[in-house]
Amino acid sequence: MNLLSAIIIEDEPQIRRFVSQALQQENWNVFEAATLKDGLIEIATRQPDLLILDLGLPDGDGITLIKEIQSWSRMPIIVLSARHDEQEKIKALDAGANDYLCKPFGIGELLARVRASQRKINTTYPENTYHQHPSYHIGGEETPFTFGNIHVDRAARMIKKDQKLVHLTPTEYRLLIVLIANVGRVMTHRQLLKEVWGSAYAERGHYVRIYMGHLRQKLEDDPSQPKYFLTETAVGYRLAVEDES
Amino acid sequence: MEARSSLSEITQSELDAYFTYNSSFNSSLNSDLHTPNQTVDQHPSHSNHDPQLDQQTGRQTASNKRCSEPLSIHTASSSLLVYLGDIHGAERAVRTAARYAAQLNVNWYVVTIDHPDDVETVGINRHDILAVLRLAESLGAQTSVLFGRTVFETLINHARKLGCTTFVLVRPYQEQLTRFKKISVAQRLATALPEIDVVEILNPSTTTKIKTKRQTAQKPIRSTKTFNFSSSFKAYLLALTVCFLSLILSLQLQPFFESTSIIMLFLLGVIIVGLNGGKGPAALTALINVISFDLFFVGPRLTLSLLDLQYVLTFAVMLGLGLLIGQLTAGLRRTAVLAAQRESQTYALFELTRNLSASLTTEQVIKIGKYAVEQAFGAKAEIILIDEFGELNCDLITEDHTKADYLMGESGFDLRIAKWVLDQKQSAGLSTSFFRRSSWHYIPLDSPTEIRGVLALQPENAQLLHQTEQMRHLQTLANQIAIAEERIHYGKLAQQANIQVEAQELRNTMLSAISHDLRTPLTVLNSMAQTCLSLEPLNERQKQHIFSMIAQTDAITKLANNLLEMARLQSGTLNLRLDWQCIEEVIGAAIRLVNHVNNQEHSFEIKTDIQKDMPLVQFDAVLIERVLVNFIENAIKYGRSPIEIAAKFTHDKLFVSVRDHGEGLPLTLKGREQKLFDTFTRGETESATVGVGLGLAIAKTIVMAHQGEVFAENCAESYVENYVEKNHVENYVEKSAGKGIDRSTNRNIGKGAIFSFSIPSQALPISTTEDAEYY
Repeated sequence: MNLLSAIIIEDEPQIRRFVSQALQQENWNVFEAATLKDGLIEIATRQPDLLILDLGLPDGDGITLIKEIQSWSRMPIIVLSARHDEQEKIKALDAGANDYLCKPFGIGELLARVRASQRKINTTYPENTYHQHPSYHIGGEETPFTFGNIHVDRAARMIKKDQKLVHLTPTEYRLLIVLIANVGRVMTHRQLLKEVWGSAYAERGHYVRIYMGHLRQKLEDDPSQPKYFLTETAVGYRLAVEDES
Repeated sequence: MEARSSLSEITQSELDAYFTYNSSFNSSLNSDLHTPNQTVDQHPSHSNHDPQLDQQTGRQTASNKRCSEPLSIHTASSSLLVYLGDIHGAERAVRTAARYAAQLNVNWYVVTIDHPDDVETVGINRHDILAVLRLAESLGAQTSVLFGRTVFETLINHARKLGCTTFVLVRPYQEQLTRFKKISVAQRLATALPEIDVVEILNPSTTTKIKTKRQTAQKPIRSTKTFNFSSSFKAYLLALTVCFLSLILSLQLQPFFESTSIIMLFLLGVIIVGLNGGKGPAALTALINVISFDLFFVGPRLTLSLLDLQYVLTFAVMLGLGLLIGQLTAGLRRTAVLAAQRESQTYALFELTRNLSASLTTEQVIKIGKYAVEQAFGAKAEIILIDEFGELNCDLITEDHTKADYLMGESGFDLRIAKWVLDQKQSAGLSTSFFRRSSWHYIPLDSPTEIRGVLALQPENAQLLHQTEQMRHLQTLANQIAIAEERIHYGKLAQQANIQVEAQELRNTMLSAISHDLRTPLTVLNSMAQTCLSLEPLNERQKQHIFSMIAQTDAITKLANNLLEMARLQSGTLNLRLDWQCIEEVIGAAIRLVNHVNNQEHSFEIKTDIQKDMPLVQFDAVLIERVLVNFIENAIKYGRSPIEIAAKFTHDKLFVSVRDHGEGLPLTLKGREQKLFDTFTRGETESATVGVGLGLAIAKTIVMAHQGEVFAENCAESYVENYVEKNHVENYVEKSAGKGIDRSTNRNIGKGAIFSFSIPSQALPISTTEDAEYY
């Protein structure tokens, strides 16, 4: 069996060990590194499918590593951080990380994030046979996408909730499509603004808030307690299509 | 017009600009300004002015312009120079000039000129002029008091130095002009400075003139006069003595010397009197000398008649020479006195500056400043500076007077006047227009940024303050003190900021280290317990142990988070990241966070009631989320399901409340519900429920940082009234209270506690005008 490989760069051996155990149980081939320098060498030699990176490493800032990797690799990166500083998370995400986890985190959380990161791979590499949840599989751009009671037919540009047609404005639709394309992944306000409105709007965070509100009003059962369009406070949004425990 | 056609191109365009302005002046303001390059009079009330004169001047200046090279008119920016020679019309001139300057958008300067002769004269007029100068300064002019012997030269030099293009001055009275047949100042200036426009401002009408005169008369001028009288009396006495002595001496010497040589002796007398007494006594001496020479030395003796007519020339020359010498020596003396005075002032200033530059504390500044003022004026001086709240701080008053003394006013010092001075930013007390009965003179310590305090002095000799020179000196001293104080003030601020930054950095380093060191083992513990769960097979007991392990680590994590959060919030200033936020979204996130952490331990139903068309509101989302999480966790801990969260925006305030349906707050807490928000306070002192009472304290700190309020109350009947009373928001309360009955399926409304907060904010309405097309 062709195992997917992951690299963990983390200076705490305990955390390193349990993360690798958890991943190994999920059939990952895991390599470990304790410093940025070792990690970089590992990445260059192994060409992994996933990187789990601690931001606070003894020999440097993880964000610089993310930026460096972005230029030559498209593998998903999940950032671990003890810091509760939202700006730090935003920086990591904007630099190119796919997701983040705050310590202390549970294994369930970690695995959910890992799965979400692999969905992106499925869209990028259709030959990949890795399927966790076939129903959420996002194929090409035109395949219909279903989550919960919501069905999005991108070819026909039709959105149905409980079999009933829902009307979205163009902006709302674009926002939804961008979220679907990055399903499971945190999108920062800046990223959403760039993708939906264009880079000139990158500083207008309230646009996203208003339109997310609209989307929730139209698609969620209870807009104030959303199931799918989740808020990562002060960081961004995530379209969640499975129960994250 | 002749003048316009012959001008160079640049000048022409500038003039055109002027003319454009002028036309608007004429139409809108009926202004006094007429045509540039002319001395003008246009006021309708002045019918008897001489048009010929105006015309003549205009032509004259025009022709001057043609032949002479303009000195400074080609400088990039033009400017107005206002000369105040006399108090009459000065204010009007300043106001008019301010208007012109604003309309022409040019810089403007206001000058007045001090003559050396004025040093001794009483400066009531001067004082008023200085007041007008201050007015000009407040209107945006740059003002200066020039010093010079002749008005014209000083003015002309100053105008050249500033490169000003328009001269504004007050026209002298019409009767003055006709009476003395003087050439007006304007004409002379126009002749001397052909490249400059001269504008004459109308003098105020005669009624104002009389009024001003009467006002002037009311001023306490009498004492000054007697003072002058006594001193001049001495001078005249000296003159007579000198005359007498020189006569005696001459009579003694007469047998040995020619009368022509004896004249020299008389001239010497004039010089002595001129040096010591001034102009008048010198003139008197000259006259007496001539008469006594005639009486005693020119025959026939003891009569004024002359035998030899050639003595007429001698007398004439002697008188003329005497007068001239007298004037010159008197002038010399005045200049010398003035120079000495200036020198001492400069020295005092130098001394003060040097001392102040070495001062490090406010106390030193006060001490040095006080000493300098006391030395310079022979007065008792006090300096009261403001504290960080902008109030006058009496504690810094020096130790020889107690605070009570001052408040009682034993020394005549009145703190209220000092306060007034601070508020009004102008001097008061002795020899000013305000509180002039006070024996103290108060001037504000005006530094570039704000008034730093008040300098008060009680001079032995009140006359001192009437002198412009002295006033200016005092002003300069005050400025120096103010600047020194400001330097120290900002030095302190910078130091504090520095310390704060360092402390902040240290704190952040420490907190992140602690949080890293706490969270890492907790993460490991938690995840290891979770890993254990997946190690099949496990029996029930093992499973339960592992579950409780996980729950306990969660509890410790929460506690650690709260402690760190509290430490972060309470340590110094909290930096809010305000942004336009949607409260619904934050409530949703908070609920999810609570559910997530709670691990569905207890099943709690959470309901939300959020006002429709809720606008975006400014707050820090992370922190407000924290508040909500803490409120909800609190409700879960102490209350019963369901929990209701309501949000409403009204009266520029966001109200959010979290209500549970438990027993409500304990009765023991009645009346002091706010206590709940104190650190380490809990409703029940000892209980099985985990927690140290930090959650609500954190919530309060965050809400306070948003300038908001937190409330905790029981959901009893009085709740509605209480809430209305507190917030004057009827709609919200009725609605949420009503909902309370409906949703809780007629459960007792008296049960349960409500924790709510309000934060003031502006609202950003959500508009959906964009995006008309639907899919």
